Amino acid sequence: MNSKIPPYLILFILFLLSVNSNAQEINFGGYYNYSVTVTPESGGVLDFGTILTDEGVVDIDITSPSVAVYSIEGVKYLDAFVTVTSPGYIYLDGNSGCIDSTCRIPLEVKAAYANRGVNNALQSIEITGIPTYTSGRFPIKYRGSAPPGPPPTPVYEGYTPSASINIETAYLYIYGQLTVASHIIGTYSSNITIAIDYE
Amino acid sequence: MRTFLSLTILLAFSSVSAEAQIKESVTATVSISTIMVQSIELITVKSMSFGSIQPGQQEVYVNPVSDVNSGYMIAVGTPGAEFRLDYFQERTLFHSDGGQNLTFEYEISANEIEDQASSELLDFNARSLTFTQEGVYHIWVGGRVNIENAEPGNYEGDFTIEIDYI
Repeated sequence: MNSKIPPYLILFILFLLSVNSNAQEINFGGYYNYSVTVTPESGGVLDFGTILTDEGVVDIDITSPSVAVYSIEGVKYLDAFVTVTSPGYIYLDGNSGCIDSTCRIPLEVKAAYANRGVNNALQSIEITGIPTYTSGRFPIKYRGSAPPGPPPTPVYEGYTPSASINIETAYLYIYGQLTVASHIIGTYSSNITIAIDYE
Repeated sequence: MRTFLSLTILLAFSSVSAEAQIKESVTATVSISTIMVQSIELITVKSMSFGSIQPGQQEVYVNPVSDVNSGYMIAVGTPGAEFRLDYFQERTLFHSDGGQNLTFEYEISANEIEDQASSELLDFNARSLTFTQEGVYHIWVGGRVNIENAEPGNYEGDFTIEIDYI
């Protein structure tokens, strides 16, 4: 008897198997609140205050009270992927269409996180990147060199976990510097975006 | 054939595990702002002088509002910007040969326009002023010194005025 089976038939059978296995998966996300929130702690503004023309580098460093601080609240077992995207400039009257060096000031944004449960910039770790794009991954709660923990116990009949038992807060610090030359005097503004993916 | 089967099985399992991942995403916007102002310049147009002192004269007084011997300075900054002006009211004039020093009490008057006669005397404490729309402010410097016991010779001293944006 010739028992040779065509490869496309095997592929088709395995595809059907994979569809069937979906129906048996347990989606922990469906039984536990994995939400993450990000909240400004200090107004969500990085304010360089009043600067002078030709002042050179104006720096808000990590220890400055002008640092913008955000709290990230999420499941402590999990890691946050933070991406900070900046236009690279701060614009006169917020007009991002300006391409002339007299109406935009070069901006370098930096970011750092603290994940030991307290808002303490001195415990923070800088997330490295380039002036317009910074990204990094860190656990919501510091765990040293240990691997990520298991997912939380799903809710089941007779078991309702405390809403806060697995929740922890990490802190994100946004700071940076302007390089000031002979720009037009006036009010400059810009926006940067923080994106937090959480897996 | 065996390789093909392995790859196919791997692909099948990966399609299952990808759906089991948890994915949450949030974004926030940080506003960045600053106000750029022009550096303040203080231009000395004319130094203060005492004119001629008569024998037996006990005091020299240069009235910053009316005396032609007053010093004259122009502050240049951002049009319409508020600034604070401070100065030390009393300064020591040092005798060049080590003799007795004198104490000079400064007085300052200022005006938005270049008109000394209508300028207003300023207190030595910090005071809020506003640059004109041309970005200038006019300052006259005078003061008084008691020379009753002054020794003959030259006296030297300085005058410090500080201007900062508010």
